[in-house]
Amino acid sequence: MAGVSYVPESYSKAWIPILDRSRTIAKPGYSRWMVPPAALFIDLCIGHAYAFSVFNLPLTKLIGVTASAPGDWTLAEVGWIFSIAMLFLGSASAVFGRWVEEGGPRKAMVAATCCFAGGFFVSALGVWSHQLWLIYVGYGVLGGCGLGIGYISHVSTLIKWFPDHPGLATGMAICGFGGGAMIGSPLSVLLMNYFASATSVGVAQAFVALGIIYGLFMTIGAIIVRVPPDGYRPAGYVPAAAPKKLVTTEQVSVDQASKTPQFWLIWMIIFLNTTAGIGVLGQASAMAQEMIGVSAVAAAGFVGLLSVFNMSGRFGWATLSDYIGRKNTYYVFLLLGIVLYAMVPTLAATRNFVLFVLFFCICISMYGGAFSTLPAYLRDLYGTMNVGAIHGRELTAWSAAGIAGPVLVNYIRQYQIASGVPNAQAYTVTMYIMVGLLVIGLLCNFLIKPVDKRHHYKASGPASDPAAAKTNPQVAVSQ
Amino acid sequence: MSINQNTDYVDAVATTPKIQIAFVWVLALLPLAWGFVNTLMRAAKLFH
Repeated sequence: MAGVSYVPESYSKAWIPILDRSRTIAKPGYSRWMVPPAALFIDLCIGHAYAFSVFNLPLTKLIGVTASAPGDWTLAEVGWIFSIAMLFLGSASAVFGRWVEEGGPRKAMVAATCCFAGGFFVSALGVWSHQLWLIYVGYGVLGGCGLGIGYISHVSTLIKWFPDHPGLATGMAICGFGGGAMIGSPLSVLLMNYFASATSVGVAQAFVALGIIYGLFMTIGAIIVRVPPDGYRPAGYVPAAAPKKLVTTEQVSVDQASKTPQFWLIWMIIFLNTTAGIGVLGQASAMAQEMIGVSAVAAAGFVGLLSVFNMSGRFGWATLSDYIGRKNTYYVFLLLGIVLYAMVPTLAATRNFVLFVLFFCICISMYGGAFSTLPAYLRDLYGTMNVGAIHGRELTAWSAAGIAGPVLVNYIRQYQIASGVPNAQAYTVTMYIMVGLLVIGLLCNFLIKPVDKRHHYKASGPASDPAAAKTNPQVAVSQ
Repeated sequence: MSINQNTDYVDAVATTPKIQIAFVWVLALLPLAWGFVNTLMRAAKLFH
């Protein structure tokens, strides 16, 4: 892979030089095992998004404090904060993907830190002045951009550090996003309780404290992170002489990747799998109570258990994918998902509590697993050159599913109940629709073939993309 | 613009002190462990 690389001037200069990619290149002897914790520092913080619902009720009692009063925001109005954040997560990861590749992980992590922590501060101002639009802009827009940039900030870096175990590497980091909810939820409640008084629910102060805590924590990640030197290979690692059928040794630029059918097939799989997963996650508590008849306290425990499986699935499935292949891992997600979702109505009818919990835990582990296996799947298909930017564009499927999933579950349930169906059976149709979605996903996965060579990046030629060399010059030498 | 000479870079034996690696991992995983235990305690109510 020896050769010459072209490095644009803009590449080596930045208005804050310490954030530059060139300043983050690891020195010889640097342990790659320092990089996953750096990514974890980011993901554990931005994973707070999954825990934002703990603020929903207190935000509806800012004036009344103990109960909602005239002038207080409604739950529906407050619910938009999370939706906007999810929308901007997908949009920011798609829009800034190439910038993240070009600028390197440290610059991206600092930008994510400023956006995410800044979002908390703006939201605190919104609570203090009782201006809901400020929270939409703060946590929703600014925080959402922080989520999107932070989520993709380390993906390509990790894949380049761990060419021998890309699934393990991204699994370690992305499991942090699932784990972030487990930290964010109790931490937020703890802070609100600490700052609550007779005249305040403590949300504004909790937002400021969270902004400071997460800001500091994410900064540690930005300080630690390093990119591997050009042509890096771990000691003892020999690339397979005959790579697996779907694992390319070529590179595809981000713009070219969007023109391949594989990109849209994966987009569909993520959209369908996430729609099913989010639909369940959002309604888990109500489903457990209505389908199985457990108490509200037990249902809260069920939601907690789901978040444990969401996190561990991200690590476990991605690691497994290094051994059985990405396509096979997705086959497992989709086939097993079809079987499990199809059996849920039967379990509900028989009130089989243990199997109900077990089935949903497996489903949610696969929901998380699909996210953590995705970067490695994209790396297999498109190479490492623009994998972070391609990953960013794929995440728009997440945003779309974030809207479609809850809508699907909520509206079908409401329609069923309005039609006279008992509450316990109101999710049956939804489950069968989920099965239908996963069958389409299975078909999409089946259709995924290696990317046609006309899409491969060439230093010069019809498929070359000038921007590609800019986003990752080191790869240009390998052509 | 600049022209960089580029060669294969095979990792030498990592010299980053193990204590430093361990410290960073502990710092990252400690909050996660706290959240994990907290969530498990909540989840335990499911079986009460």
